[in-house]
Amino acid sequence: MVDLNTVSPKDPAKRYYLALGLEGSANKLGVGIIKHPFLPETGAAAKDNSHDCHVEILANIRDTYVTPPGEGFLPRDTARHHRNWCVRLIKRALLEAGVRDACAELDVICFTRGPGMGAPLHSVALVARTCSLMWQVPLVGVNHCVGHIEMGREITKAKNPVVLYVSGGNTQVIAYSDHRYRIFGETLDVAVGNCLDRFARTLKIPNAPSPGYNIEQLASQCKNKETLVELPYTVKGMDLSMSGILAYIDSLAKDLFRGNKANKVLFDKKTGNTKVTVEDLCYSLQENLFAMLVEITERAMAHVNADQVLIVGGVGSNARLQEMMALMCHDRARGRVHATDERFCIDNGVMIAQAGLLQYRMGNYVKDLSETVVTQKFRTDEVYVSWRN
Amino acid sequence: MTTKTARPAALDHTLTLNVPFETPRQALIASQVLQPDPILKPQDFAVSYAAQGPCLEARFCGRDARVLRVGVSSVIDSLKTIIESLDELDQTGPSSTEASM
Amino acid sequence: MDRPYAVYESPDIPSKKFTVVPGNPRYETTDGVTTRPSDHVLNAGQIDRDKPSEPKREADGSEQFTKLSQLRMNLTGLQDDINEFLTEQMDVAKAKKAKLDSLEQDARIEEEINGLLDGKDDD
Repeated sequence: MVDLNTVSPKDPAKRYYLALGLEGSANKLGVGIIKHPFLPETGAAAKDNSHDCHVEILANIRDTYVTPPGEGFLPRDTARHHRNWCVRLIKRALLEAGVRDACAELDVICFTRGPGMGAPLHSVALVARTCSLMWQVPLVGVNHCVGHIEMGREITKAKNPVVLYVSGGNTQVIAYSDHRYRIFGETLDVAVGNCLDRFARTLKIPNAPSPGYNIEQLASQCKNKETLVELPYTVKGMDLSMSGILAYIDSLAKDLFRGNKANKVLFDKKTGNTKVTVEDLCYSLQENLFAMLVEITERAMAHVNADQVLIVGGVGSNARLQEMMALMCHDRARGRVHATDERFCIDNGVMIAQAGLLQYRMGNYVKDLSETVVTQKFRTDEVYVSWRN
Repeated sequence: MTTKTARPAALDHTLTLNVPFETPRQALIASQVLQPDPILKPQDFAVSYAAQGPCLEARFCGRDARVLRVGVSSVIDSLKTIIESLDELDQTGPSSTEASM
Repeated sequence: MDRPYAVYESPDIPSKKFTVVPGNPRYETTDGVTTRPSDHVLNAGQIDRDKPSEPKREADGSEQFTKLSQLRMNLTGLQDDINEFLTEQMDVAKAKKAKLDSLEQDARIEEEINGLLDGKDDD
């Protein structure tokens, strides 16, 4: 039994909670403001309703740090972006949400404590601390991944799905059990979004707006879908590895650009004609990586006897990944796949507000600012999920 | 800050920064916001903050100019962000003098 | 409101004071010269669209900047002074050391500074 009303709304007469969420763990800076109505049925008598809070999104603003095509983002430049934009974005979000007196109206300020890049995380945490002190509003430090999961559950109303978390920095298969989001399988080296982004860099195409987006666009133009370029398939038990695949396809792309006719995968042995296009490479890479993701997700479903999958994270907005996952789910006892669109898939402040507000409503918030130190490594299963049965 | 290896009198490059705010409350907020973050290399660098009236004093000690260059600039970056937050988002206004939390 | 200042002391330099020079444009901007984007992206053709926000003006209709905005601008100039001075001091220290060490050090120091700026952990 979970009582989501452990803490009363700031103004009991208003009968709702208002939360500000700040996200800055990677190259996206997000500010969100959400409202949870005070539902008496989520009181002591209720069961687990944490996936159905009747959230209302009052503001969801995002600004992405963009680098020139072919360049990765350095933590120090990303931190500078967040530092220089954070206050302006908060001002805009408060205005959009109609919050005139943050001090009187906000119940809680939620910020990403990790995992992610240290310097950008720190820039945003500083602003969160300052706002908390000057408005006298409590703080909650949120695990970025738990933010994705809770936002996905709330939007799709999936009660207890197996979660596939795929982004530029993370690749994890997660299932809930006994107050923890437990990691069933994960990447042993690079994240799937990072793998796609790094290949995009090799192709000199931009990484905006989300990891792998431009690869997806090229892949959809592939005219040769029957003949896949063979790539290593590296599932290891519940885990997977992608660095070898990336190195191999990078070398193929470089040979293709260089016109290295000695490469028989790319060029016809006799005529020397090109057999493979950039679009074919993108398509094959996606098919290969996504098949691996579907395989480990299916195995996790079998383990926990689940029939639902929730895909979260920036790569989760990829239509082909959603399609492949849906096929698998359908084959398995008419299961369902849930995904959100890019407003929630891509890093945002609203998801931090959602997970943080759930935690706040359970009475679990920062008592001393020493608890707000950010951490680059913060595993999903470190968080005690008090708001679920 | 605890130091793992005892290297007495090594941190002999110092910089003291004095930042006058409008009110004691603002100086106190700034010191409370800066305080929690650990120093990356305590054996090479140390920093302490003190709010005295409306002034914040930050005192940095480093092994050499190099660690000071990085540490001081990063704290000033943080200070500029805190000041911008107070400037743009504080509804209490400078007339308020009560200390917070 | 007074202006911010800083004092540097080291075995080589007994005391060096950094103060705001009123009227000097260096202390009347939020966009410092030593806090621009990294050379890494600038050399790749980056246009800086992430400059710090403009200073805020008083609500009373006077063209005055708020006290806090003035402080932020003063600190920006002071930060540039301190950064430039400490970089010089690093070069002095480096020149001294160069006689003993190989020039390999330079690259290592540069890399270490960048590492620290990026918030790299020791591990």
